[in-house]
Amino acid sequence: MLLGSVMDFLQHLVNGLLQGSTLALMALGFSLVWGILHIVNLSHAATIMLSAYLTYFLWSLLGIDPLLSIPISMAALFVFGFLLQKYVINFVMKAPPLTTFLLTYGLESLLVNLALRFFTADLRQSKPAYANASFLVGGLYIPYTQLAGVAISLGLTLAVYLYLDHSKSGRAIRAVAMDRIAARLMGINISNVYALTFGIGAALAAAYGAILSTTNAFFPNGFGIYNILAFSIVVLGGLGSIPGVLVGGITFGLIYEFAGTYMLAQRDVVIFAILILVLVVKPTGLLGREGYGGR
Amino acid sequence: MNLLIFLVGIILAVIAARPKINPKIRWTAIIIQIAILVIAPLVTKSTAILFDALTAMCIAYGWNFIGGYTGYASFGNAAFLGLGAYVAAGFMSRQSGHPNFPWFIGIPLAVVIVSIVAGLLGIALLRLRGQYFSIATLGIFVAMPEVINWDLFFGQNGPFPNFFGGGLPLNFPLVRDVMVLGVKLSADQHLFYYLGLATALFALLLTALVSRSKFGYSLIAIRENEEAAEVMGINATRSKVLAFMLSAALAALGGAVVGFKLTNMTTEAEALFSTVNNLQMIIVCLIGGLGTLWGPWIGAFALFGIQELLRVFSGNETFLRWEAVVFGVVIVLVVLFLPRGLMWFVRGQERLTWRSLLKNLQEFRV
Amino acid sequence: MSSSRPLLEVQQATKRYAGVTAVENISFDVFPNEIVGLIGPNGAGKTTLINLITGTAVPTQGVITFEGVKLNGLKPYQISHKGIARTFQVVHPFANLTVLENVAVGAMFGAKGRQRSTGDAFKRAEEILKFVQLDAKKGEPANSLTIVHRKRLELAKALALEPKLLLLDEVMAGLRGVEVLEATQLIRDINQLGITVLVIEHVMKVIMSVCQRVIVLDYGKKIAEGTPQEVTNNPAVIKAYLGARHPSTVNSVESSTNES
Repeated sequence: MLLGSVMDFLQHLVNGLLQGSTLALMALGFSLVWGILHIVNLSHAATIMLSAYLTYFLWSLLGIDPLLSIPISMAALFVFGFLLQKYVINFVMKAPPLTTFLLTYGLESLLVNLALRFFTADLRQSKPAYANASFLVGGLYIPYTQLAGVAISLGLTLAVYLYLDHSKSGRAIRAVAMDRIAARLMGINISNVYALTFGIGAALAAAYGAILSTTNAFFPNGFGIYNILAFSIVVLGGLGSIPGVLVGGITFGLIYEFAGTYMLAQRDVVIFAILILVLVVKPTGLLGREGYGGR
Repeated sequence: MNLLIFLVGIILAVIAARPKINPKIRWTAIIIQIAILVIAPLVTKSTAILFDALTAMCIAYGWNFIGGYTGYASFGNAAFLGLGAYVAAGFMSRQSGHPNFPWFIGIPLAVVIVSIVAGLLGIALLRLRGQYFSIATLGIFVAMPEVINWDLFFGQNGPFPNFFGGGLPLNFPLVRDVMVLGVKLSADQHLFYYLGLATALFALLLTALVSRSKFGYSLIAIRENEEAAEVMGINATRSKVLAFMLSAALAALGGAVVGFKLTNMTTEAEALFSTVNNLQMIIVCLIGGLGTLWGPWIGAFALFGIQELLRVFSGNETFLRWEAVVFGVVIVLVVLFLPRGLMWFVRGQERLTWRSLLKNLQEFRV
Repeated sequence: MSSSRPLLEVQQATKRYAGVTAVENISFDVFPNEIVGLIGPNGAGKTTLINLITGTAVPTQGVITFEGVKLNGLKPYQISHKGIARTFQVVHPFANLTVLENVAVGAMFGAKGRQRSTGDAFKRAEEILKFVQLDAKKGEPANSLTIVHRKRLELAKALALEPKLLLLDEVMAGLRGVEVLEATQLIRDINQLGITVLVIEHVMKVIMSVCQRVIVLDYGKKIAEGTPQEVTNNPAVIKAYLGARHPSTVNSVESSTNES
């Protein structure tokens, strides 16, 4: 009896850790855009949604494996994000927060409603042969898709970390985050850096959307919570810190799993309550820095 | 006909909003405006869209208190809108276990309760500024439908068993047509319309009173510079919480009246708690002009005027299917081309031309 | 120096921010009707001290009392109701309100203003604008003013609170020649109204001509206190302002600090 509940607890712990690592990937693009463009991008969730549908249709219509199609959806959404920033969001880069908030939230609403029109509100899920398969380790179930999600998530997080530190364009991004005016004087094309960063953010969201399409059934209206979750993860971990995103993601993965288990339908209320608590008690987060400038 | 009413309404509101106009002309414009709205049900075939515009206006006037005057952009007022409808339905429903209050008790009671809820949330949230406040209120918006379905409070064994329906359906009582002095007043065409008109006029009056009061100046001072406002003797926390409560009260009032007309709260939950509703009040204020008396009035008539125009030209069916998408496009266009609202032009700061719209577009570009 | 009871008492005030001590163990008194100067090089902790007195920052240690009432734990608005007003070094106008409305807000919410109607507050605001000679600009939005006028508006807003103690945080910074003389006279006029003034300044000349008593801060500590004459001859002060290498004359202190 006791052993049973201990195993139950451990199973939830494992689920939470697996989910949390992929949630970190979900929030990573949001964190980059917020830290570097200083924009809270509420169209982030819609980007995840677009990728989930793209992955689903690639699988259901063309039979492309959802995990193998990740590069395709990342590339597609990178282009989407790049163009969206360059031709829409770039016009409000210096506007007060209400304007950028409203614009990205408006875009979110627009994309979600377009999806509702074209894809309907039916529940979808990419279900390759291995979708529901899992293996046992010490009596604990580990689904293959979740494990793949963790691997992809950690891999991409490491890639972004190295990219910002060691590549030329990565350094340009960090320079812009530190000081826009100084960066411009150094000959960096600011608006290109912004579009590039937004594109990378969308591509990372796309990778998460692809994983999500295999692990969860989804419909257009169900994505709104990801904006709140991404914000909460970034706030908890600290804006401008990639390890912070991992810490925040895993924390919220565990919270989500346990709240989902014991409070069933009210887990978004729990997320909200924790968000408020973090904001009021420690608004700079656990590992916060100024944007992505410092390190 | 409705298009004409919207157009005349905007023109009259613009006249009333002009800062240096003769008070006599201003009052004439206001009285004609009200007169037109009072006789509207007699001259137009359907007052449905006017009802929508007037209730949206009331809700937008609410948002204007916190987002416009105080400068705290709330993205959670639709939660109070929906909650207002649900609480009012809980009080007014004819089903067993509900108190079965008449509307003139049920709706005000719902407004008071929602204001108290908002006040408690505001005490915690109004320490946050800028984007942090906005996203925290967005959290309220996401979490509120779950609270309403929370069995711990509203389930069979909770302190308020099945107040929001629980497993049972939740309905407002059905309103029937009435005969007054031999004239037949239909529920949708007349009764709900006048209720909607009353909420809009109430919101306008409340805003007029507040914007001339000390409380109103304290809100503006907080918006302009909170630190300076505090050392100048303004209790910022109290003013902000009051503004947030007023804002939630008008959202709840509008929501309750909208819900009353929709009647069935079991199937309409998504409509009330929708992102479109959440954005609509903000975009109404933005089109008109943030933190101004006539801004929400002009904004609501302009937004619903555009919708009516599209409906007339595209046919009802097509429009309904694309309504939410069109709304998203409108938001993007307004944010890009009219970030300061029409009031900027009404007050004569600039002439409304293509060039000034293009200038607005370029203004915040990198 | 007055022998009456102090209006403001600062006792061992200390403020630390995440490991940095901005103000350490500072004590001083301000007596009714005085004009007291608070000087020190950049980063000496002058503005932090003002923030502690007005409740904008909370002291880590120490007690601050006003008319015998402890201010610790009071919010900025409560402290302003007790009769303390301040200006900000970086001026904080309500940018989209007119000059008159800016001042009227002060007249509505200050110590005496709370009983006033909005109409009376606007009348009072007009009087104050006349007093600081800004009435010609009353209908203009605050963000259209020049820096000289903004500084004066900042002063008018503080005066509208009808304080007993006025804390002026570098109201002279950015002013030149005649403007400085006018502002100095204005401080004397304000003092004539029975308002006690604590002036924070970089421009030493102003302090010397207008203050009865001067307190000198350096690196968050009080290093000297006395009449302007005593302070300018104090070796510690000269060292703080000039470094030990320089000759110690009053004139060189003045000229070097005028530039900053």
